[in-house]
Amino acid sequence: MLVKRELPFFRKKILLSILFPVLTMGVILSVIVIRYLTPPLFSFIEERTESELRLASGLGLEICEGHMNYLMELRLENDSEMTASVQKESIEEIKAISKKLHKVNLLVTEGSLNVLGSSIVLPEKKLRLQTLPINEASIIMQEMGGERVRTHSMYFPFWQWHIVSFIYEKDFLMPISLAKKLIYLGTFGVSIVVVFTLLIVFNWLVTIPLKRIISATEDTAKGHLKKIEVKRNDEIGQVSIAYNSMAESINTIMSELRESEDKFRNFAEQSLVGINLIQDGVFKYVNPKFADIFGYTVEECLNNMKAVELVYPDDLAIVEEHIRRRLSGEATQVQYEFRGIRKTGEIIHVEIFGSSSLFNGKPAVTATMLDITERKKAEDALRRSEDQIRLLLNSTVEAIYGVDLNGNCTFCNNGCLRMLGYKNSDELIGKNIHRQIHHKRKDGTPFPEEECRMIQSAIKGEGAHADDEVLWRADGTSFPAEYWSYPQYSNGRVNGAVVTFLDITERRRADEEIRMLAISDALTELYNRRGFITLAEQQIKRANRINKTLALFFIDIDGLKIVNDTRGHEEGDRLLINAANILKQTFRESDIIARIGGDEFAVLAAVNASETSEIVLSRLTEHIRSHNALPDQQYEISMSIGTAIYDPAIPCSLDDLMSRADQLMYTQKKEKANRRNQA
Amino acid sequence: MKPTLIKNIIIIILCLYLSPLSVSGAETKPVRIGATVSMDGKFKEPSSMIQGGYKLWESQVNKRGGLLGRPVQLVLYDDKSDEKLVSQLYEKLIKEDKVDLVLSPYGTPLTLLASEVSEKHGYVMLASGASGEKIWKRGYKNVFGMYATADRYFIGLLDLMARNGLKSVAVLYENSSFNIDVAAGVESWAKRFGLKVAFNKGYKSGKTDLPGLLSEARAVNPDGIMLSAYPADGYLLLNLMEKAKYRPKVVGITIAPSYPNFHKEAGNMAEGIFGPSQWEPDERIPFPGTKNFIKDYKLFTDNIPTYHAGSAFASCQIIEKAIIHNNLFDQKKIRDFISSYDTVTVIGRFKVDPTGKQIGHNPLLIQWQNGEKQIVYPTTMQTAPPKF
Repeated sequence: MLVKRELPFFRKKILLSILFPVLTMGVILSVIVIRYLTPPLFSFIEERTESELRLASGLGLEICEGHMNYLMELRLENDSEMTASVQKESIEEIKAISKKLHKVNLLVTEGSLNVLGSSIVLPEKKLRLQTLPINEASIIMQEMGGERVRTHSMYFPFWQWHIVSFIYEKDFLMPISLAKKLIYLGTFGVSIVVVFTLLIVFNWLVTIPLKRIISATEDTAKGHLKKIEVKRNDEIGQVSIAYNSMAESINTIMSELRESEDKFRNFAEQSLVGINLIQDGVFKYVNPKFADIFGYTVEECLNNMKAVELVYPDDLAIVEEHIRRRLSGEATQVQYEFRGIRKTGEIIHVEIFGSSSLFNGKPAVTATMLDITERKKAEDALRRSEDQIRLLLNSTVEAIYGVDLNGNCTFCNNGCLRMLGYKNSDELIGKNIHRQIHHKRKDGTPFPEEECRMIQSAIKGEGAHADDEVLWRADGTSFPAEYWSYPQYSNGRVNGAVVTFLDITERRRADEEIRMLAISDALTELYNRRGFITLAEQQIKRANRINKTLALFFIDIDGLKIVNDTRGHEEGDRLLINAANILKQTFRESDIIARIGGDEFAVLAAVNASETSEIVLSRLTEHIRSHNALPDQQYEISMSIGTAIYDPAIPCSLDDLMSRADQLMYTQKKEKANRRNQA
Repeated sequence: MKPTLIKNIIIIILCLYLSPLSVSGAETKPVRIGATVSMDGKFKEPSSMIQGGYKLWESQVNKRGGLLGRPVQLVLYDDKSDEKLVSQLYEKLIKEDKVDLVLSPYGTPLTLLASEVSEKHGYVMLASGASGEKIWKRGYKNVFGMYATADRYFIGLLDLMARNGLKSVAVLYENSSFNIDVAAGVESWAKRFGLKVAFNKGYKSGKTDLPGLLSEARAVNPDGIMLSAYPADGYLLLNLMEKAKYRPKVVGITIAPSYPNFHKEAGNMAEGIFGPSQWEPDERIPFPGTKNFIKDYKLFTDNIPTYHAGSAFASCQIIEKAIIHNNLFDQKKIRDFISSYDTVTVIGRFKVDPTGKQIGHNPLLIQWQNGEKQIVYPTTMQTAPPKF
């Protein structure tokens, strides 16, 4: 049903928008038409009228001419009786012209005053016309009987007549006056018709359909969705179609909205997180979980409860600041934690995910809330555990670091930093640990990452251990290290490795010392027999490999027993030490010098063309002599020497070589004894 | 025999020889029609037109079978515009040559003399080249006018002047019968039209008298000057005006402006000149036979006809009508017929009064405009409005 409704807006608008403009346009149009059409119309009428006037007087003249020609042809131009008759006839014919030309009158005058004949009754027989022109072209305004007339005259000199045609000014102007009235009335009439037509058409095409749409819209606003009957396909029809489409969409949206609302209400009611909406400092909505977190009922929360009542006083500033930021628009979303107070007074930890919104057209803040009290406790426990682990890590002597599957350092303890010469962990964490500390072998050759057992084996899920590699410090120096690498698991999968290592420099040195003790002679600090044999065999192998000639000198100290017996063992030891020093002076550091028995020494030295065994022996002899020449020497040092040459071309064992040298030494010793005995 | 006569005889023989009928044999006696033409002197120019008109008619009538079955033969003598010679020649034509009919010479002076001879012998003469009043004031019975009379020559111009507000006119004229009549007509009609004749003098010799007269006329400052004279004086007047740089609003001259070559002869001074004309070779003129006459004359003579030619041709037409009407060559019956004959010829209406004066025909007024001759009066026959 169509609701009866006035549309004052349209009524006023139509009046203002259509009526006034159309009427104004009509008036303007009329003025323009009159302004621009009147002159040509006037000109046209004037030209036409004047043509008629000229035509009338011209016709009059022709009549006169005709009669004149008649008289002339008959040669009766001087016959007064005939002339009078012809003149009378002429006047009647001239008067008759006016019957054929509307409103045009004719008169015939003799001179300018005497009227001989006129087509209308004149008020006076003698006119007071201006001097009538001879020139036939001009139209002259004259006063005739108190009225203005337009006149045109033709002069007929044969009878000295003026044939005057004239029209009263009022008759002349009548068409123009009528045209003006017609234009005004016509324009006004057309304007009125246009306006009313527009009003009717507008009312029919716009107002009534608009009322239908308004009525339907109001029904829709009340919740009664109603379609409009579409009757036309014009703009209003399109609006109706659009409205119907909108109504259908609203209907659909409403249904979906209701479903959505139910769904979200269920979500909210059953949510495991607390949800609230705060406006003007009080709760406008809380879900059951929210109320539960704080130990209240929903109704209690919504009973004008202030939000700050649930906040631990120390955290009140945090909460108020975050609410202020959202309401002021500084932040649209916030995430923060604070401590709340349950109804029981228990302090709880909550985490807020908040945003701003509008509620009932006013700014409000909404938030979802998680009770993180248990998580906080767990985090505290974890933190403590971490602190303990960190303490543990940093208190251990071993260096410890972690790597991920890419070989990047994930953590390192203080021991690690200290041993590697770094100041803080940032210098290692995140960096490829192999390239940082394990990139070269101890001899300086590159150590490919693929061969790095420290990482590779751990990544493969296998533990690794090594003590024969070096690690490189931040300053570019290296140190021997022993490490253990353990794969690190997460969810059953290897996600990296934990490596512990030790700087074993001191241990290496101790080991060397132990090893040196095993192969050296404590008195002379030369190799002992074991050391000599071990090193000499290596040297022979090397000589074989590089085809180098060696000389083995087997040396026995002459007279040691006598010194021990006569001067005591200390002097005997000093003798041995002096003998060892002479040997050290004689041979090169790279030669192997050893005390292989009580008074027996062996030296394995490299010889060549420039450094022959004879030259060596000569140098030895010279050093012995020099020693013995020293002042305060209570006895002379004498050595028996056997020399055996090792030629790689004729290889032999060390024992054979020593045996050959020993025999030669013994031979020399025996010769010395014989010479002493002979002396 | 005088040398002149010998020369005239030679011309006659020449005419006979040239005539188509001269070789047609002697079985049918030709109708011999005699006249004089001015092959020299002041009438030479208009007279040649007269001669052309006569000969064209002769040619056409012979093609039609002649007059009453007899071939027509013109007998023409040269009168040299000489008044003394013309009477002798007409005596000779009538008495010696025994012509059947006579035609008129050109010009009022010659016509006055020629008509004396024809009247004496009872011959009818249609004055095809004269309009002097004196011709019809002698009580002759056998002389009839073709032209409107001289006194009416300037009616049209005076009427137009009056209609256009002009007030005064000066009249100069040669002291010869035709021109005296023209001047008298101007005097009379000017009064009728309300115009003042401010100067009116005749002269004997144009060459000697015209310069002084023009100065005198100029002194009265007339709106218009009208000269009645034969062509030579007409051109002389224009020449004098040009030299004096004087040109009143209206200049009207007789005869000369009617010639087709007037503009060529007078140059720029011809522009605006008015002149009376008995007729004009304008095909728009609504007279029966006019159009054909103009065409035939052009073909026959290679010239455009003037009113003189038209008048001569029309006079022959009237004589032919009279002979055919009477069916015999009787001068009295011819005269009677012409006296009462009211017709329209190629140059217009023909009607004579009992004195033989032409009263049916009225002159035209022409004006040279932009090098063209235009009929400006009467207004019913205007080819262009007059310019002042």
